[in-house]
Amino acid sequence: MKKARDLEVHEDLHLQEQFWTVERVGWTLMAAALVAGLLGAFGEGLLSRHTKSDDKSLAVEYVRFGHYKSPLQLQIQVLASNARQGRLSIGLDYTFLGRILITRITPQPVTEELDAGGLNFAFPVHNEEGSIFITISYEPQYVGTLTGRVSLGDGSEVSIRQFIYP
Amino acid sequence: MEPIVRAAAIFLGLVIFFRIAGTRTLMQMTSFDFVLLLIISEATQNAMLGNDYSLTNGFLVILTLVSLDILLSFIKQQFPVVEHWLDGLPMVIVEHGKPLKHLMSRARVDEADVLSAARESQGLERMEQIKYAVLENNGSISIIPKSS
Repeated sequence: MKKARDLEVHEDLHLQEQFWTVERVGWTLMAAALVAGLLGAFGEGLLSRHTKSDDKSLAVEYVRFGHYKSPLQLQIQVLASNARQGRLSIGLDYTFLGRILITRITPQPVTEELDAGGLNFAFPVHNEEGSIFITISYEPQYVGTLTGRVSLGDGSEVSIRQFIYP
Repeated sequence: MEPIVRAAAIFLGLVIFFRIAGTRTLMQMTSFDFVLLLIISEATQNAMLGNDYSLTNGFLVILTLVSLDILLSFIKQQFPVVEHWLDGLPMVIVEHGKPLKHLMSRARVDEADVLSAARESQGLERMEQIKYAVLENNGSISIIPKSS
């Protein structure tokens, strides 16, 4: 052990300087992560919120980044004129359904029908003017990129893409 | 965004609460203080995490709390006024064996506390043996004995 100032202490200013540099770099990274987090890179936020539409009758609002087993929502806006015989049908594909747990659909669908691609939820519509809003609350049971297709009875669809953090 | 805002709000709230509660609350913990601390941690946990139990949420909350702590340390270094308000200042409560009663009662410290600190740190027996007793800003009492 090198003796400094008659004191038996293991001092290493060189190592200390190196550590301070690492510390500064770490702080910068933390600040960057914090700003990214505030903007929504790790969940809800400005960068994350996104609306995708098929430019005609269907628009889906969702977040690009979600957390594993934590509440998320799809907000679906449909023109009421898409209803057939007083029913509006919204479909979700099986791949998406297999990786999420639906906790609530508002309003409640009157029927759920299976077809080749996925599950169709039917909602009663009395007035075929204006827009209808449907909220699907769910929790992803999957970590990684989650893709899904929201479709209308007439074949128009919107595909969404979410990244789910662990 | 949400976990960061939640954590920041809790941090700010706790800083204010604990400052107002007084410096002695956490340092010289009684068993009741300990229970209180446990309950507070339970309550803050729910408020901070919400119903999101993911790793990412946890890390964001920790990142926010640690960052705010670092930021606060810089602010305190730059602006001593902030440091004085947040951490308090030391105060002389016994001078040449004479307890300064009005200051002691305002700080909620009594002579028994001073004597206890004197016995523990210096092995002193009586008030007259104390030159200065100082209530430090971390809530502890430091004793400077009279040189015999």
